[in-house]
Amino acid sequence: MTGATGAEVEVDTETGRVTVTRLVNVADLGRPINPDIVESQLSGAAIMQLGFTMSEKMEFSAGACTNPSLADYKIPGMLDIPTGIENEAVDAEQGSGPFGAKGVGESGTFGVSPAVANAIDDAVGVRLTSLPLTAEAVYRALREKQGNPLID
Amino acid sequence: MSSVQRTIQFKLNGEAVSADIAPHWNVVELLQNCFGLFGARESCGQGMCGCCTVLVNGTAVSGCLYLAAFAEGADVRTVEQPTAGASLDAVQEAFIESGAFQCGFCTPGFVLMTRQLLDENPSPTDNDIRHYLSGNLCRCAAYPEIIAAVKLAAQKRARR
Repeated sequence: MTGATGAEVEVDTETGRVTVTRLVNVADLGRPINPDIVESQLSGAAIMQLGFTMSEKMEFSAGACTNPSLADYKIPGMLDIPTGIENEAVDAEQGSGPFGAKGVGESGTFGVSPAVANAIDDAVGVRLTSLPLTAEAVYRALREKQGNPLID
Repeated sequence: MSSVQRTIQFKLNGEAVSADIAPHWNVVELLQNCFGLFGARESCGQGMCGCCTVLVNGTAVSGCLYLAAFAEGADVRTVEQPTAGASLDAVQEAFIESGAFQCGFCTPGFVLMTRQLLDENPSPTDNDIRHYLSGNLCRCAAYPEIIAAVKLAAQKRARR
């Protein structure tokens, strides 16, 4: 399976906060047997990956997870999803699959993190290479770029 | 199973019932242990996710944080509540027709909250829906479909 994502973001350079305003997900999944479910799978997978991209991080201290709750480990809610989200399956046929299908599920996850990181780079010129792309990470990178890095 | 320490009486989905409960039980434990109702599910146990939503005296509460003892004398309604006449109500139909779930774990909470939203605001905007349902989490992230389902349910209700 192949998946690709395009992202449009807004970056608040004062706080580092990133808002994903548009997310376009496309995948080659063979022939979509149930197009509605395919779209729901692509969209759901992309939003789940958006959580890993923007906020979800397990914190460990002395081998123990210190944020094992939904209060401290934030997964996307309704207010965290982009207002513009589009999902599409490319025309394809998998000869060896049932009715030409390959399968869909997490195909929507593949491109999300690099697409958002690339969009941030395009917007404010900082390249982040580890997840999640939190406001703190973006702000630290912006300060470093200005030659005035934050001291821990 | 914990030792029973008191008996409470309340209305469950319109019927007068009584239940023997332990004092530390929450409403989810009450519904599951005494009545075999599994529509309200405990997920986070912190009131963060909305999966355990039930209506107590007409208001949505987190069943995981609401002590069963406080249900004494109350009117408790769950997603299992039979709907008048029809087998499904407009909200349930709209969720099915819009494909507004994948695994379905969070769906009872979303259905109850959507009914409450549409009772308060019969024609909500996208923004109204997003804010009203922001306390319900869906790990499968069927959020765009849920927003569509709420709007479809509003249309169905207006036609009935």
